[in-house]
Amino acid sequence: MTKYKALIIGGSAGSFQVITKILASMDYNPQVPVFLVLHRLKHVRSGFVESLNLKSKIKVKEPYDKETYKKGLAYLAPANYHMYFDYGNKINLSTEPMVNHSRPSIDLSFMAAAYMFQNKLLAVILSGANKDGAKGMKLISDYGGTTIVQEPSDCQVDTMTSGTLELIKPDFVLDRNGIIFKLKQLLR
Amino acid sequence: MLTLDKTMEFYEITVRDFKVINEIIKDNYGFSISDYVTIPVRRRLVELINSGVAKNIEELKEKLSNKAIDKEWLLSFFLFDTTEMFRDPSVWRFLGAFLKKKEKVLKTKIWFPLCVDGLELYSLLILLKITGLEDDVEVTVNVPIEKNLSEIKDELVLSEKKMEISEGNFKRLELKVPYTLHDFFEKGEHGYIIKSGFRTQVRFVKGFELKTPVRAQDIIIYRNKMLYYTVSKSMEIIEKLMDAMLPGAILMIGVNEQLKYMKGFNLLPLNENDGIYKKK
Repeated sequence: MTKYKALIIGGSAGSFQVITKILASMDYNPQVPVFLVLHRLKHVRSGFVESLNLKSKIKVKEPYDKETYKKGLAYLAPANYHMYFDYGNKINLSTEPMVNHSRPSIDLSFMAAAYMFQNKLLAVILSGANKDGAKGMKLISDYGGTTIVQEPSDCQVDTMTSGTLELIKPDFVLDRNGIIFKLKQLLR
Repeated sequence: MLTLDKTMEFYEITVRDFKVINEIIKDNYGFSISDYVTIPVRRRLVELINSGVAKNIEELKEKLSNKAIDKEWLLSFFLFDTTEMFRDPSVWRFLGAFLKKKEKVLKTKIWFPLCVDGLELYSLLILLKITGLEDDVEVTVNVPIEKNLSEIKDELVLSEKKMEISEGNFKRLELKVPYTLHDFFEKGEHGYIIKSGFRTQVRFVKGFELKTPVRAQDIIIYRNKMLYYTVSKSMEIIEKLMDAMLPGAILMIGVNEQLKYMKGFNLLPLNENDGIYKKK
C-alpha cells in the first residue's frame, strides 16, 4: 500500500505528450488523487480534458470549486484559475493575480500541496519554458515530500526542470519512461 | 519606513497565530477572516505584513490589538479583484440574449452584491450600450470600501495587458456589432480610461452584500466571489441572495463555482456550464 496521499504533476511547453503517456500507463489504478497543473490557454475552456481522457487509464476532470477529491481520479487545474487544496479533502480555485505570468501557477499549487500533504506528497515537474514550479518543488522538498524531475535532456524545453535543479537536489531525475516506471512503483 | 525581518510566505503562519489574529480582527474590526478558505486568506495576511505594515507577525498582532491599522485599508487586503473584462464570454453572450428576450414591461433590476474593481460592472454597461438595452435596466452595485467606490465611479483604468485580454474576450462575444472594446476607452498616461456616459442607471451603495441587502432583483451577478469563502459562509450568502431575488430571477456565479455542494436551495440550473441558476 502506498504511503502517499497525493500525486501532483506540473508542466508547460512540451509536457503534453509526457502527461498523456503517464496517464495512459496508469492501469494500476493509483491509490491517490492525481493533480495536474499545466500551463494552458486562458480562454479555452473545453477540449483539453477531452484530449487527455482519450488515452488515460484513469478519469481526468476539471474540478469545480470546493469539490471533494477522490483517489484514482485526475484533476486538471481549470483554465484561468489557480488550484489549491484545503482541509476536508477539498479543492479550492482562485482568480488571484497571475504568478510567473501564469494562472494556473504551478508554484502556487505545489506550495499549497506541500502545505496540505507534507511528506505524503509525490511531485513531478516536467518540460516547460519558464521557471514556474521550481519554488514549489523546493517547498515540497523542504516538507519532506518526494520529488521527481524530468531529465532536462529528455525535455522539449528544459527551463522549468533546470530551474528546479538549481534549487533542489531531487529524489529522482528521470526520463519519461523512468518517471512512468517510478510512479508505478511508488503508487501501488 | 519599516524594515521587514524578512519576506514571509503563507505557510509560515501557524494555526495558532491565525487563530489569534482572527480573534483580534473580530473584536477590533468586526469581521472574521476564518470565513475565508485556507490558502488565499493566508496569502493576504502575508501580503499585509509584506506591505510594510509590520515587521513580523508579532508586531502585526500588536498593531491590530491597538487598532493602529485603518479598517478600510485592512479590509482591502481581503477583497479579491476580477481578472479582466468579459471573462468567460459565453456568460455575457447568454446574458445579452436573456435581456433581449425579457419582457420590457418593468425595468430589469440587476444587482452586483460585491463589486471590488468594476470590471464586471462595466462589462455589463458596455453590453447594455451595444445592445441598446441601457434604458431597460436598473443596476445596483455594492462596493465595500470608499477608495474602490470612488475609483469605480470616477474612472475605470485598464492596464495595457488587461486591455489586451479583455479585447480578446470582447471579440469572442461574437456580437456582430461595429465596435471594439477600445471604442469605449481613451488612452491615458497610466492605461486605458473608460469614457463617461455609462453611469446614469447605476446606483452605488457603500457596504457589503450581507449588511446592505436590496430586494426584488431580477438578476444577481456574483461571479467568482464564493471561491474565497468557506462552504458555510457561502451558504449563508446564497440564502441572503435568494431573499433578494424575485421568483424566476437568475443568479450568475463563476463557471467553476457550481452549487453541487449546496443542497436545499430553490435554484434550478439554467446553464450550469456557465454558472447560471434560476430561482424557482
